[in-house]
Amino acid sequence: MFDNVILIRYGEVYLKGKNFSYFENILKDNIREKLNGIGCKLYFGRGRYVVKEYGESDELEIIRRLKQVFGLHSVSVARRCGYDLEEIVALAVEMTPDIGSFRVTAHRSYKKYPLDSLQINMKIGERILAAKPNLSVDLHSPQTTINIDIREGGDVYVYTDALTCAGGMPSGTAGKGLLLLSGGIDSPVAGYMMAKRGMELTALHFHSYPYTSQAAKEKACDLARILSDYCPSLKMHCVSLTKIQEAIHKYCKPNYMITLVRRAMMRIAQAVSKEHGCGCIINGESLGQVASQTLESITVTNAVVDMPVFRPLIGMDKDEIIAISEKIGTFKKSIEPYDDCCTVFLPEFPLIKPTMEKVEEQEHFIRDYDELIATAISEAEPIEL
Amino acid sequence: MIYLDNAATTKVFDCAIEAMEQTMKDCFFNPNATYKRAIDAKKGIDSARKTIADCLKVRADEIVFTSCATESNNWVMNCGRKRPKGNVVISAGEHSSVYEPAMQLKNRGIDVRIVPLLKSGIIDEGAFSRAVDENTTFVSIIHVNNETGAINPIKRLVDTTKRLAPNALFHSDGVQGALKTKDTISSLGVDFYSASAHKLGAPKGIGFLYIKNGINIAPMLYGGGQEDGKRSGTQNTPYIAAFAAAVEHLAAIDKSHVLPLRNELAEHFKSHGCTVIGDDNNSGYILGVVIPGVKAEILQNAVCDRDVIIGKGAACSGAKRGNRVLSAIGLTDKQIECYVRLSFAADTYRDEAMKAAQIITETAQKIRSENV
Repeated sequence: MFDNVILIRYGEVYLKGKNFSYFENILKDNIREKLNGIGCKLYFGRGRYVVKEYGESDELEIIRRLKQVFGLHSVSVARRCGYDLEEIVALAVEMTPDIGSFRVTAHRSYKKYPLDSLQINMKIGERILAAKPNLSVDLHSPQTTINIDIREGGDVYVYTDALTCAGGMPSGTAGKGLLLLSGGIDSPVAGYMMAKRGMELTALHFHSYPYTSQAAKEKACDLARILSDYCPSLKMHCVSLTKIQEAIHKYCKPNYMITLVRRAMMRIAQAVSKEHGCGCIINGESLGQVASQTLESITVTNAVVDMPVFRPLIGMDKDEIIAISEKIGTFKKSIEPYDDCCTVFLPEFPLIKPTMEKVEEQEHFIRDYDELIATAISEAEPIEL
Repeated sequence: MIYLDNAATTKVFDCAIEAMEQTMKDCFFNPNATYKRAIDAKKGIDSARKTIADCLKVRADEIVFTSCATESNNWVMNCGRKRPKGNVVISAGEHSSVYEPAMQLKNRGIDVRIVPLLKSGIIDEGAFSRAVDENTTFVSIIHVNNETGAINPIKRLVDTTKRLAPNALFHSDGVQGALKTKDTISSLGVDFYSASAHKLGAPKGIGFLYIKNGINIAPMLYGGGQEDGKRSGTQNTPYIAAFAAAVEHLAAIDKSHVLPLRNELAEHFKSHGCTVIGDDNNSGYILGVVIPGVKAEILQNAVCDRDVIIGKGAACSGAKRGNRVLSAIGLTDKQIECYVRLSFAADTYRDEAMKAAQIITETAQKIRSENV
């Protein structure tokens, strides 16, 4: 009979005081929703949760899904038995490999258990060694650690590994933000970072069809789909910048293109944020990475909005961003080489130190600017993810 | 819709769909089983093989069905060399499914020689003669270039190879060449020839490798020993039936209008200030044009909105930056960015093609004027 269970440990939520139950309830809901469709039973105990009575073939899928739930610290696949020491020994022996080094680590949340943790470690270690004489004990860097978790209510769990989960805070505990999702490497990572702190996301993608392709837009949608594994409530909208970019191209100096486009994006983002109840804008800017991400550029683009703009990658190197992108599974999609809207009418030498005065002067040259922005907003297209 | 991206894939002929449906419904049996219905299925494959062989003027036992031309090309590149240490010669104009396996051979320490192309898009025959020597064991040269439509002089290249390297085997990737030039496979004198059904009005997922009678090649896929032990895997009977129906249909219809149509379109684009890539030595099914000042991707999207579908270089490498083959014929990065590929089928008609050309040049002009 298949009698594995999956132990779930939560992370930073444990630091919460009087409002702990608010965070915990959302976390429990998120776990339930994530495992929806898989036949299993969930038990929410104090400090640890357990997934039981699932099919053997679902185990890997349950683990995969749990690793995407923000607020969880780690999971372990364990075997359950009762308090009887012989039962515990039998499981421990079964789960220990025949060769290599090992140690036993007992955790005793049921304090009335007749043996203390050290005694359990020694007794079970001794029995394992007797059963498998080719093993050696190594308390400092063992190849296998046999964990014995003695709980109240007659449950003992034996397991070897703890698989690290996404960490962070439960999704839905930190408000909602509008993520500017381009299609590159950075913006999905920025969204992930904010979602990790419990923020729900709405993604906004700008395209410049026909200057950018349908494939580029699909790529952004695919990135949103990958992100939605971590942010189950993720919504997405697309806005065309084509007319605005054509107008900037027509009326303004070429090297102001990117600065002016980004100001237009921020204006549209603020309007879309308000419409969808988002309290902030999130983007993937990293200081100095490209011309539009210098302090001066960020200053003039930030100036057109009056809501918080979160830039979780601002102090990160590209390598660090790529590492997260690979971890969350967006990297391969992000590097598909389709042009995004920022490459349309790309000047040879974009401004790296724009000033507010000159940018505003250029912006005034654009005819019907407010109408163009209003039209772009009104034509925002919701995307089915 | 006017569809001018037939080099990427063709619309499936009705006769091919009917053949496929009928086989799926009535003849779904495993052709390798021994009961009567299965034997009938096997006979269906044999009959399809014979039809294709007759249309292509080869022997039926020289056709081995594969899943696609990429499989055929990979198979022959990996298993077609007689001597493990001899050198391999390919051209700079090969499709990725020949070029990438060649790069794998190179990574394994094999001397792979890449012969440059001329501006017209065909192989530089002088350089080819210098690349082939007595140590050459395998040559693979594309029959009709998939980017430009240029026809390589395969017969002459085979003769040169047999003269300089009598033991070398010669393969040609005929995906854009089969039934699209006057050459027959046997007249080319090649040892191997790859073809794909979905460029000929049949579904995707079926192709063949022609293996000249008397030539042996080790299988790439081992298993149940289907296809006379050369290519294991249960045969795709419905698609094989569709392939044969499409080839039979294509062989019977008049295709003499295709090359003149291509040339007329070339004149249209030239008169609108565009550069046509290559010369008259063309299959007639592909027209490569550089439309100055307009990025191909933008033009492709814009004409798509007017119901005209065009290509911008090989569709299977559409997501990759640059274009290896176009660079090899000397196009600059700027030209490659503005390169569009119009490709035709035997049932592309003059009126629709000329209308599409008009839409393309009008749209290009509009994009240019908006972006000045």
